[in-house]
Amino acid sequence: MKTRAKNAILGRLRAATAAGFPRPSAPTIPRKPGGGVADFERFAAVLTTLGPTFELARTPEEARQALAAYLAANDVKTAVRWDHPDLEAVSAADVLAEAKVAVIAPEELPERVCPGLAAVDLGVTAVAYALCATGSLVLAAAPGRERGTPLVPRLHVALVAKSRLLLDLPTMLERVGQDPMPSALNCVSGVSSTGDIEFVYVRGVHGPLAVHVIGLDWL
Amino acid sequence: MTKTAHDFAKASAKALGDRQSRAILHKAIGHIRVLRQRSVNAMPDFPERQARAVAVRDKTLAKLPELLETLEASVTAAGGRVHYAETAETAATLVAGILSERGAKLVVKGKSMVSEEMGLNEVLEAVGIEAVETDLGEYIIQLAGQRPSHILAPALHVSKEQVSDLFARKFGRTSTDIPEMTRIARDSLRQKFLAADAGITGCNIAIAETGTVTVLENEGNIRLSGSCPPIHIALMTLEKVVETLADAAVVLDILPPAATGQTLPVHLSFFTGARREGERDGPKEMHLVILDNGRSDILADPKLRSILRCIRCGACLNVCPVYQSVGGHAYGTVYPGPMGSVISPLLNDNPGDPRQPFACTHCAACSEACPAGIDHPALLQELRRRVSETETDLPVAAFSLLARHPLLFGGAAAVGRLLDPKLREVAAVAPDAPVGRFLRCREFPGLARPFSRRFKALARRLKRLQGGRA
Amino acid sequence: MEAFLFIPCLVEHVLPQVGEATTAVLVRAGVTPTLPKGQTCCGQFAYKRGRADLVRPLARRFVELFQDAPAVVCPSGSCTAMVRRYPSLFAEDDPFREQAEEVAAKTFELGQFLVERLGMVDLGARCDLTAALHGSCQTTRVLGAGSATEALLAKVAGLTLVPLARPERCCGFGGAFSIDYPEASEAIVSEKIDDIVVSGADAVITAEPSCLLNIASAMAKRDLPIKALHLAEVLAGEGI
Ligand code: SF4
Repeated sequence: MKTRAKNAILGRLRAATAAGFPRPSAPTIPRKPGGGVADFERFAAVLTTLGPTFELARTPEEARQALAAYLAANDVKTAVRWDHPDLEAVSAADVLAEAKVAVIAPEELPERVCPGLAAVDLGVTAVAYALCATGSLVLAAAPGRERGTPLVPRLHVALVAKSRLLLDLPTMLERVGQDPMPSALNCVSGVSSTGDIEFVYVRGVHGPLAVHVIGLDWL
Repeated sequence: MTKTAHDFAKASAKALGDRQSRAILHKAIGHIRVLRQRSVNAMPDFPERQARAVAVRDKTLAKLPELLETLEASVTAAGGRVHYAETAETAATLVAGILSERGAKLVVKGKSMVSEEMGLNEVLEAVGIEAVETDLGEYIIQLAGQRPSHILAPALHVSKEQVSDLFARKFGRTSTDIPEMTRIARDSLRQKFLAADAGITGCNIAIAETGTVTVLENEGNIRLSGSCPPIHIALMTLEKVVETLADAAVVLDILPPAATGQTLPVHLSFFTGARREGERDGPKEMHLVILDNGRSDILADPKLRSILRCIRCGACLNVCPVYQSVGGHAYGTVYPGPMGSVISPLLNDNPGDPRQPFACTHCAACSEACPAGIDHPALLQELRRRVSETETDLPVAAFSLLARHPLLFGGAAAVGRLLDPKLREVAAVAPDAPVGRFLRCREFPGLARPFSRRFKALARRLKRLQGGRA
Repeated sequence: MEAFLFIPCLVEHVLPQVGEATTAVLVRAGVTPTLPKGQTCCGQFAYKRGRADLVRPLARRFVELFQDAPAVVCPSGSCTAMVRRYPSLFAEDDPFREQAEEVAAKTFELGQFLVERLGMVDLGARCDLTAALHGSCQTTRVLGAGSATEALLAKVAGLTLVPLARPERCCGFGGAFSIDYPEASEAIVSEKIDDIVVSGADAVITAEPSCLLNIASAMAKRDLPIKALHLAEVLAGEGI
């Protein structure tokens, strides 16, 4: 039954395309990336217009202080974090422990992760890439990097290493294409928003209500 | 079951009577158009981006069967499953089957026009599955028991007061403050996301070489629907595929600016298959449903196939004077506006009013706005030709006969001049006669002594004047 | 130079003053206008009903009438666009197609003729008015002659152009559309008129007779003291 539908559809499509189509009218190669260098100045300028806040750390120590200050300022009691080398580079686990934040260990996560994170204050992640042209955080799911971490808790802190800055989306897609795609790759530009009621713009519909980015200038 | 065809003329007259909805629609659409214009203006290379996107869409359509096979292989390799459906009905049954077999009771849905096309919510309800729309606009529409009026902003026609009343009735908690209302919806929907047995989303672009389902949104509800529940079902129509990530990049270069005036939406998600070995969340099962519903026949139609380039950005709706005035519901179809007027009559079911292609002022604002290079006026012209072939249009035939004979044509005009004062009266007593319809909002201009009878004397006089000047 | 006048049926029988002004403008531009006998209608109304079969005989008549013209000038963007479309109505191998192409290539909307063909933008016209330009979809988007209209009006002495809120917006006429869908047509033309009123103009100018008729007769129904003028009337100034 299922292959019957498939065969019928593909059969019709083959017949429809058999005669050949006129050649496309323009080259289909992607656009060259925009000019300029990918740096924190450009990235932060766009990012902060979209809702998230940004802070640049020049050393691992500064990054730890930034994270600790954020935890204190936002009354963070519980957190969940990704298993990611950039988090290790700033010993994020130690900072959380020192601040007496209860961190849910991966093995403590329930069978259904998202409901388990509903009451958690903060998710800490690092990015695969960050895009300067659009202020985007590119998050890649993997073992130890749950999709729910940057999505379900009320706050999200993302660490962005300087070496992960790229110019724009076409550059990122080209880079991503060199390896197998992760099960989920999320390119997030700003804080969730809607205009569905009378086109009035409202931020914080789903997902975290606030996003804070710490730039790692040495990494 | 015999269904009488939808009557756009009646439905639009009725819609135009609803002043409040019209005013809201106007304001909202004006707003989207300003945003779009601003973003397109800010991209000096938009025409080149557009040319590349058209080329990618055409390349895709030319090798569609091959790309769908590649897509299936890639999705399968990534742990997902691909299903084909010939009609909207079989697609809905198929989805209901997948969910029932797994005992799913609660489903969260991200906005998807394909799901509307399938009438999925009704089918799920019939088998006892609660399907909750999670896009805020779509959620409002669902709570109100209505249908979307725009392909991107489904609740474009609803006022905040109406939303406020609706929330009071449904949640016993309300406000007239829009951010606060959004908060109420967030709280209610969050429970659904966390408890859902499955998530159903649409698919803006499917990437064949990687098996990736790409979705764009601002709210984050699609990302949640594809990430939290243990089952993810993505719905697409078969033309939504592109070959490579690079091709996807070309389409992504124009889709957000044309749709909402953004460079990128807040959430651009690439879902590839099910959760991998060692991952603790993400769907354990991922299904991709590919719907035909008449599109393979459109591809076989060289005169009309370019409508399959459409990337559903909504730009043609936003600039169409008819859509802007009457709103989406008057069309009685899933897809309204210019793109809907072209594609609806070609889909297997719910073709709407057979005369829909005539409900057009020929202003060509749609083709000018379309980032996919679709020439709607030409396509509508072809559709009108096909409808006209099957009927006798007496007034047009008569007029054309007269126009072939200048003496008769002039004679008819002379008769018209004699009757001229009476025509006004005809309009008054027969407001539904063609003259009457024209004159409802217009003063009769009157027929004049023909120009050709004035020309000779005029030309002579002008010549003299000119000679005098020289 | 000589040019044949192509006078749309709407101008012939309802708006003859537009034909007169067109004649005057051409004479002023040093062109001798000829009016070939036996003109009726370009067939646009049938074309837009999807009846190319009914347009073909009219296209043949037209091509015969204008075959010998050095140039054909028409005070209507939509009728000019229709003639430009004639070749596409005949099969590739139909010998008539070539003749249709020749005639189509030398047929111009008035403003287009003055600017593109004669290279004239300043006709020395004077018109003391504050006016809004209604671009007309057929003249601008379909025919691509919008910039010629603008260039000509920019040189008219005494004319102050004020912008419309949505200058690109259709006036809602659409030929048979205004009869088949009177409510929608009314809604669209009312908005156009609202925009004109808000602009503060004393007159609205367009290069398209059907828009002119639509807007003028709807303004008359509302008793508005705003004039509706064809481009030719503005360029003719006191010339007639
Ligand atoms: S037809 Fe063009 S403008 Fe309309 S929705 Fe499709 S892509 Fe957008």
